[in-house]
Amino acid sequence: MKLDIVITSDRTMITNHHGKEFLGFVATGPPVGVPERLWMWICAPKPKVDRWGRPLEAPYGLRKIEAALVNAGFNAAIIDPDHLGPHLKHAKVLMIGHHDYFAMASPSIEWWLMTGSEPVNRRSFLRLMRRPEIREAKKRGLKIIAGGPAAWQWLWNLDYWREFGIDTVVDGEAEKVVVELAAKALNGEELPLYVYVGPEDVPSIEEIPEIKGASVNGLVEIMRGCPRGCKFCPVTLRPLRYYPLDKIERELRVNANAGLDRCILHSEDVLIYGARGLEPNPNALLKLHALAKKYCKTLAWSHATLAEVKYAQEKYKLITKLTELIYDEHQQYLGVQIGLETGSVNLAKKIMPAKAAPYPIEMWPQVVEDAMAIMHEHRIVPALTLILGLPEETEDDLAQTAELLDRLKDYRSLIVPMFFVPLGVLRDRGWFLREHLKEGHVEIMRRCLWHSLRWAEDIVSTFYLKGARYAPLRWTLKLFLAYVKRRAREVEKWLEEAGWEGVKRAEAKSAVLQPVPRPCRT
Amino acid sequence: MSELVIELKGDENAEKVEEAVRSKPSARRLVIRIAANDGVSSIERVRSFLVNNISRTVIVYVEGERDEA
Ligand code: SF4
Repeated sequence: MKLDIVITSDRTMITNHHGKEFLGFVATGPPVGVPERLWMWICAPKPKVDRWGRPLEAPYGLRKIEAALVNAGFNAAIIDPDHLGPHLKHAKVLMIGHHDYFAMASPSIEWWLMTGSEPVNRRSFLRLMRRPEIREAKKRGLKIIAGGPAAWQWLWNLDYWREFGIDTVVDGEAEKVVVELAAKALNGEELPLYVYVGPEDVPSIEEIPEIKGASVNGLVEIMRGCPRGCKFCPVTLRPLRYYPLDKIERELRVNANAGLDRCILHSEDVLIYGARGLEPNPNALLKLHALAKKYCKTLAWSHATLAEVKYAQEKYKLITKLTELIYDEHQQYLGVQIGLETGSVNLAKKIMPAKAAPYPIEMWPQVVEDAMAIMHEHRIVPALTLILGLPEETEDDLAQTAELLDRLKDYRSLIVPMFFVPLGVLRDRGWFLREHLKEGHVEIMRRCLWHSLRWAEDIVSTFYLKGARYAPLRWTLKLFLAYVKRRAREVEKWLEEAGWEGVKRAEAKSAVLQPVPRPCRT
Repeated sequence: MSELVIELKGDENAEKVEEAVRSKPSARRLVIRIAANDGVSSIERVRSFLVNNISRTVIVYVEGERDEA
């Protein structure tokens, strides 16, 4: 098999995370308390590959690029990073994609800034790009094109851009533009150094190709874009497009044919699939879920919004209807990632005025609490994200967020604080760094940690890693959680004695603490 | 779609791009050609524009040798 175009990424991306998407988040941290190899095994085991090194499951974004190229007649395929050697002897183009090349996105950046140690996703990517087979192919004239949701990070990493000989960086939905770039690269024509795909160059629904091989954990897109317009969010800048059910079904079938019996419905808010504005479309949603259950024993939602959970349930009893449809002898809970962002009404008004819609933004904390109660009752387990260091954030905003966290403590969930990363309309704002942390931030992080530790054990043993198959992973994670608890108590004691400002002063004087890394390298 | 080609010479930078965009705000696609021998480093000259741009397609070419390691 001789490929002209090889598509790949590092091990933290080319893996199925043991079939548990959430374990992928472990790759955003540095190896803490365990050797890196064990850490990598927890979050990024090697996937099954065929005799040419093509992974059975590959990241959905890379599958879309592969499909666009194959449809255009190119000889292209996704190859596992451990099987690149033979292919790169002949290939003329290497395409790479990543969610977080340099650990500059959340939550990688927090782990890095807090521990002073590089997250494994970054380590793994740098190791990939320094492999001799890539270096040698590059010397022979290989063209390298980098893209994916973390493409923006190359703008801040020009030294790596140079070191790895990246010919073109593509930022944005690349299915259309990648065909043109591939042709140029193969014909030896001039390649642009950088491409940003603006809203008018994104593919229409008809132009979005359908995957040809299985995606990691059966992920299938159901729509693109989000109408809520939060200022920190790049997704909202793109036009809203819904996949019709037959297109979704064809992708579900690709995954089912590869033997996958699980799926993740991907949308920024699954509950607005087929909606008119933000008014849910119960019929479309019920049909979508019935279709997914036809192909998958278990399903998950990639993302939803708290306002839509509350509204869909209060107006249509839709959460009850959907979970009745989803739950059966194979599945008793549903996982989802949701942005909580802040507990402060004032800050919410400034940065995400439509987040609570159709409820007024003044109701935001109540919307959060009601939605959490609905999810708890329906065994929906959210991983909530909070943003610390948003522009114009005040002490009062932090106090309101801390207070809201207290009100959420009895709802089964993980709550992960993230540092503000300048994206979306706020792309020109400053980075939030460790030295910007105030007592209020530390208190929120402390409450999130104890909340998540309290619920993590319950989630791991009751829902997430049930059964003998997952016993080794379950026990490894339980040991890890016990380690984190012990360390958290030590840090708390330290904070109680010195206070955060005292700790910062001590750090400044201490020679033993790691220097705090800066996210931007030029 | 209306396209705008902007050529940067010498030490011209993001300011020239912003000026050009102001003069033709209807342009939805910008092609920036940078005459430079410092390859990837020339991105620094337009980075402030690239970081702030969200509404237009931008394609950057560097004319001259790429400074690969
Ligand atoms: S609701 Fe989520 S996806 Fe939509 S704009 Fe806000 S942050 Fe982005």
